[in-house]
Amino acid sequence: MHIPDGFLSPQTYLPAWGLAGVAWAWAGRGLARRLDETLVPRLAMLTALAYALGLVMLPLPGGTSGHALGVAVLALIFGVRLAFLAYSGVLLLQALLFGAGGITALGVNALALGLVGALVAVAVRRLFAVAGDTVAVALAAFISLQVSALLVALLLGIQPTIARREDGTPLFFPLGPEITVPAVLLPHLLIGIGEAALTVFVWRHARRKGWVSA
Amino acid sequence: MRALLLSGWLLALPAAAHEIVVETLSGPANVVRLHYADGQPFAFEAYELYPAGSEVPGQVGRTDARGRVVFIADDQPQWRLKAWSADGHGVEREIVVQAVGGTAVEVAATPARSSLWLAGLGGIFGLFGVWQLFLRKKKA
Repeated sequence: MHIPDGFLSPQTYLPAWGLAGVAWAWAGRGLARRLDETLVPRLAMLTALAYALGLVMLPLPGGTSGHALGVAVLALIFGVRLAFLAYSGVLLLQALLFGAGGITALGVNALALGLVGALVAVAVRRLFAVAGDTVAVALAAFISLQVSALLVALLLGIQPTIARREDGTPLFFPLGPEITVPAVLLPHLLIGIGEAALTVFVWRHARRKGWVSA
Repeated sequence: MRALLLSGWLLALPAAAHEIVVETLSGPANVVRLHYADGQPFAFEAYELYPAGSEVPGQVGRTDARGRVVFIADDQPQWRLKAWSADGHGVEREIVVQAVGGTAVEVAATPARSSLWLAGLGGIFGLFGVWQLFLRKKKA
């Protein structure tokens, strides 16, 4: 789901970098105070899990591939700010080492996957808290993935409208939202089930160990 | 009668310009293969191939069932390949053909994926390890 370089117009990625910069500053404020000696190894471990999940490609019907994110589990255990920072680091590593997602697109990817994914996960879990922990956590992971996927699909889909040559041909990603939304969302409905199951499994383990601080 | 034949022949001349002539040639070409990290081919997806410095593609089309783009470089060694699928997967990459018009394929040697994967994990644990040391030092 990471958007690569060359698919987004500067009208999209430059404001996104600016917005992401503000969000990183917000998330990093008071970081030294919030990160204690017991939290750092856990955060390292689950950040490594998110990094690994992003690189395990699952073949999907239709000849495409997809992967889980691991943002929801970070957000539900450590909170939105730490999850956003940690996942931004994961995105940077994946872009630099594997070309999975681009450097110009890093701001967009960090906001859509890291920040929105984490915010939605925490909000949905609170919203469905009455349904019980397992249901609430599963829904949080599933819905946060779908919202991030929808955002990515829409950002790709608006590119032909906002950046085109004089003859009308798109300069960057050429397909509109009527194609990108189903193409991105449908595979993520399947991935979301796996992401939800994994998030519940890890979250339960974390709660048993008393790690949940969000 | 002769005038009729002549006028018929003259009228047929412009029609010949609309005929598509098929020639079968054989010669060296360049092949670029696109695939997902798990080896699954990036099959039947759209691509555009631009000669270096040009905003007009020199070739457009779809990858074949094995995710390949086949092109003839002529005298242009540098190209930019842009390929995408509807779900946002894709790549934009500079390609330098090793021999113009030759059969050699671009693609610079890259480290093994497992090495990069481990390097990333090392980076994550290293960064958090440094942070942990910093916290301990601050506490002491």
